[in-house]
Amino acid sequence: MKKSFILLYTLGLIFSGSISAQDMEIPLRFDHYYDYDQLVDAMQALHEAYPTITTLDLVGHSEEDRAVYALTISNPRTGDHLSKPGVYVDGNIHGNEVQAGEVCLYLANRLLTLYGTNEQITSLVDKNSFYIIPSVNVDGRYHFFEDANTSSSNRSIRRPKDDDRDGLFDEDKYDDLDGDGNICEMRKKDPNGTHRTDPFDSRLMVGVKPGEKGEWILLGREGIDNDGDGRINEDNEGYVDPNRNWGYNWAPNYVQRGAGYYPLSGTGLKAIANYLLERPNVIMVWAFHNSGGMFLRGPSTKDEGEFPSGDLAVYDYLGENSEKITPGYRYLLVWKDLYSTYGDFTGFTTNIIGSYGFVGELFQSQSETYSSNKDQKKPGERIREQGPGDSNHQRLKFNDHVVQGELYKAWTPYEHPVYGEIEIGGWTKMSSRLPHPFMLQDLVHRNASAVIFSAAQTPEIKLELMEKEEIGKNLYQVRIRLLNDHAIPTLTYQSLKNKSHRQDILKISGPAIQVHAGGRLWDAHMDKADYKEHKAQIQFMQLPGFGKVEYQFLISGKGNVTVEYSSLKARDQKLEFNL
Amino acid sequence: MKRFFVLLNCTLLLSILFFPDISRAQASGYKSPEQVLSWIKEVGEKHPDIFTSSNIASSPGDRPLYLIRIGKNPEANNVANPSIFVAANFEGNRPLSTEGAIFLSETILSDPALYESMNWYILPLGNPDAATKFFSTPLIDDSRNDFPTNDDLDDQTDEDGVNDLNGDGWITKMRASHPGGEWIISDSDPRLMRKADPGKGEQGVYKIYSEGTDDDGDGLYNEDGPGGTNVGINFPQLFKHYTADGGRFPGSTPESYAIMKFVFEHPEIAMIVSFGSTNWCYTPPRGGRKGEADLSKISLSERQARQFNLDQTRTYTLTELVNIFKAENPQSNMDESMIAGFLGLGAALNPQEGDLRFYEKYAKEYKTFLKEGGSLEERIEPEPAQDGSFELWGYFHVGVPVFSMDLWGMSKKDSMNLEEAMLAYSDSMPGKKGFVEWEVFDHPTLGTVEIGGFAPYLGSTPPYEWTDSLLNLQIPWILKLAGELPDLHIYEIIPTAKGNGIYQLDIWIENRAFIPFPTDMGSRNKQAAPAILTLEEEQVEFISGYRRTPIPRVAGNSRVKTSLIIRMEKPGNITVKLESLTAGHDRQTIKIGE
Repeated sequence: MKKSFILLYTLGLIFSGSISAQDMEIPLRFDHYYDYDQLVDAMQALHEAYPTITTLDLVGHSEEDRAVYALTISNPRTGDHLSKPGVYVDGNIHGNEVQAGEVCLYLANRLLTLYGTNEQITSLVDKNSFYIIPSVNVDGRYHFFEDANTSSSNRSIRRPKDDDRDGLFDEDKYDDLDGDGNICEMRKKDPNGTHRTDPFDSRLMVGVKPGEKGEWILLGREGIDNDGDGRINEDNEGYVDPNRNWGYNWAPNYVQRGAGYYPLSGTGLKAIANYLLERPNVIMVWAFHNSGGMFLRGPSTKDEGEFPSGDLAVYDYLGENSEKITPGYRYLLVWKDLYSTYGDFTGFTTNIIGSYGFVGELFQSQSETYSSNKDQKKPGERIREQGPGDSNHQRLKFNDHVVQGELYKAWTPYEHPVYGEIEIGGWTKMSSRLPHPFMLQDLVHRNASAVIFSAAQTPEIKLELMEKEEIGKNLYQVRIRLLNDHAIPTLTYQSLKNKSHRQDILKISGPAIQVHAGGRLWDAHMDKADYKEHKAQIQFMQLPGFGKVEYQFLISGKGNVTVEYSSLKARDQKLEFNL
Repeated sequence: MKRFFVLLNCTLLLSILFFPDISRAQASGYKSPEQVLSWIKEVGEKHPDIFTSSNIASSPGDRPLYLIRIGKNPEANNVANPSIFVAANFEGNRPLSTEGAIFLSETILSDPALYESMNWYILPLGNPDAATKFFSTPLIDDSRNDFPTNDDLDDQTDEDGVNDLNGDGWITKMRASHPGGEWIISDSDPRLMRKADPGKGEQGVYKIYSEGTDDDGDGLYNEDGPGGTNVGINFPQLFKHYTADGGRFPGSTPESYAIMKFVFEHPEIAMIVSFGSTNWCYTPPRGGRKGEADLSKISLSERQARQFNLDQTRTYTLTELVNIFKAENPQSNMDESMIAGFLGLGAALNPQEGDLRFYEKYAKEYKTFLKEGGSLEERIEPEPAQDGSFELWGYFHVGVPVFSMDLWGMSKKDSMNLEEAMLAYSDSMPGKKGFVEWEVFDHPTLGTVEIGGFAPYLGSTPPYEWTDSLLNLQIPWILKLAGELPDLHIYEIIPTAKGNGIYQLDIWIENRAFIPFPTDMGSRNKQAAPAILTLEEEQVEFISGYRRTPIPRVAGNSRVKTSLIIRMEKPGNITVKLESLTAGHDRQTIKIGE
């Protein structure tokens, strides 16, 4: 209570003088992108509109002292947020991957605006705690919108690194030579060049074949030799990759570029790690990135070995359903289908927090089409020939006729200090990895729906008295059943294997009873039970997804008996009966 | 061959005050965490110009980690000096190592020459939570800090620690006859225990427990005591997840996190010294770990072979690959480290061969140094660095020379093992108070047991009266090593006139030290900042090369050449400046064109 009061006070100070949260209308709109300030305003507006079921927490600060906020959606009337399965969703850990932030905002917007009217959503919000950090790399988000960028630059956190090992840090970055807010390509006319103009679209170039005459040389991204070392753009922003800087299976920079000097050296990342460590109830994690249209699961490296089969069943169930919710996206295993990563975020949440985790790679550039039904390829068919039908040409036509030229900059002459007369042009910052705003609504809705689907599968336990039979004089056999009819177990099998988290606890007690024996009941018909040698009144277990476990106790005494179930990741349950 | 010290005169100083029954701290003389803080305050007031201290972290038990800096005011110096980072007692159970750091600090403060061209960062106590245990009753040897940890993953945290059952003020061992026992009484001495070998027809008799009860009634003894994380093994090199006391991930505890942050914020740190449980001055860091890529036998995947037009059926050395790559791309600055990274050869697990050369050289010299200092007895080998230790991290991740000292070891005769040596040591002491004779005790759940065994800290902590001579003997070696660091100079500038005002300058840079700049590991991990060569004159046109030239590497006792081609309108002076954060500064001027 005190914490949120201070927070509100702080927020009040921050927001005075900037764009007011009151201007942000709920429901939020998703026909545009939110820059960092607008994103914070949107979170504030959601919180103000639904103050009883949200809290807005200041998680920490970035390298440049920007605030990292988390929006919690949880209904306190149905219990403290820590007592419910936690669903953690974040995005934009790479500064340029901004639409991940919109997915998070949309999810929050949808959960809140439908709460109380939509049955599914109301139940989810009552039974779970949603922790949403729309922008992890807040400096990256700020600079992606504010500064000139390529669609891929500004991934890093703002931690300078001497990439070219010359004793200077980040001293030769891209330069927006033509001042248009984009870092595009540079090319120069050269009769001995490596490329010639594409015959189908004069904006594109194709490599020269033996015997052909060249027309252009490509000079890389817009920039000059800022430090006079004979190289251009060789020591760009960073590079510390915020998704290689986490504490599980971290490897140093010489093993993997972008690792940072030590685990969680990023200040915002460290704060988020602490935030998660304080929320051991988190069982489901989604981290949104761009691009490619993929739902990635771990393990992150081959050396870690495969997940236990119980976890694979959960991943397959959620992953395959997510593929259907989001057509075209593929459910993949990261190290095998993409590449190995050390110290990534979901490795941390899977192995340290003990959650299931997906990385959602948002957007497929092949969705930018310019073709009619009769041009449609047969399923599985790929166009191998370069020509008017290939995706480069289609994307340009899409740019020309569907988004009226907003994504591509025409080649324009420029006088470069080193290269002389050149041309600058090509795909812009907001292209290639981001959907055009008119397609944003579809992307955020489908991906938020994949999250909602998984949230509906967090464990929910029913505690039942199966049997209470007097088997001797003042001796009772009591059987308890615990049921979980959702897909996600109460503890990952990985946590069980690692012995990293405590199991669920089943405790039987009463003012006038004595527990003589107790243990897992494997077969109720054959009366097969494994009795625990010590402290029979306390049992430890994990509840599988779509499954049950049964326990048997031998009790003497009389009167009231209480059975209490408590779990790190699922809601506690209680049952009472009399002997 | 392996000789160490327990100085003869020390033995004479031996006092029966060692391990008295009460009030150990005051009697022992070792400084408690509170006393370390007052020492810092006192010394800081005495040396305001050269001594500062700052609190860099709070332990889980809310104790500060104070870091001392000894050095001239950096503002008064326009040239930044290299620094040496010294840390002690990350394991918390080595009070002698804290005394070592204090002794070193006082030695430095007493001799301005030692901080004239060097800064010292000294952390006397890296694990203050665990360190308090040496000053508490009952006495327990435990490296864990106060971070509450549910060790047995049950329904309670820190609920079943050890108990001083016989009330002697020490936590020792319990042995009890048990059908499932694995231990028998040792042949060498009936006080010692060893594991039975069923292969030799032996059957176990005893189970051994630490002294205590089953406080939570779960059938386990002392399985979830207070704490915590051993700060000393919470660093990233070879860190193992899910160990009993290593912490959840490297840097998960504030002490180790603050150290990593501090060290990487100070690229001028040229050497790291650790006082604790290892002795890399005496025994070079251990190699031979399996699982590392063999850089002399690299096989390529099919895809890699195709990419570089190489033969997949044979192996290559890393140097070969670099040469092949450079032949095809002469403009590229590809080096061994980049190739290793590109091929995904993974992390280094073993010390680099070139670095072992200086470790071995200095270990040999150190043994001579000790002998000359009067230490003649053979000692039990120092402990190797543990996985996740501070020492391993310093060497493998920071990439500077790391030297460590345990400052005291058990002396031994013949083929004694550690326990036998400890027993012999205890028996040599008046009152033989280092070993508690096994005595019968009626245990509430185990029935009849015997309680006994070594006194806590016996093997790691000598009587306080010995510390002065021990530190006097050993600490000066650290000062000697501080003078052995890479030392870069401009050896010679050779100008060659090419006509028409054009000159080639061959600039030779030398490293006058045996230790390479940087260490071979520092070359591999690319952490060390390069030295920078700058040509100062403005009126120079560069035909080949640039005004600033990074010098990434100069091997020990070696020279490297940098060539520039310049044009000067008129004859004149050329001044070349060499700057390194860790390995010194130099400047040379020559006249050309006359």
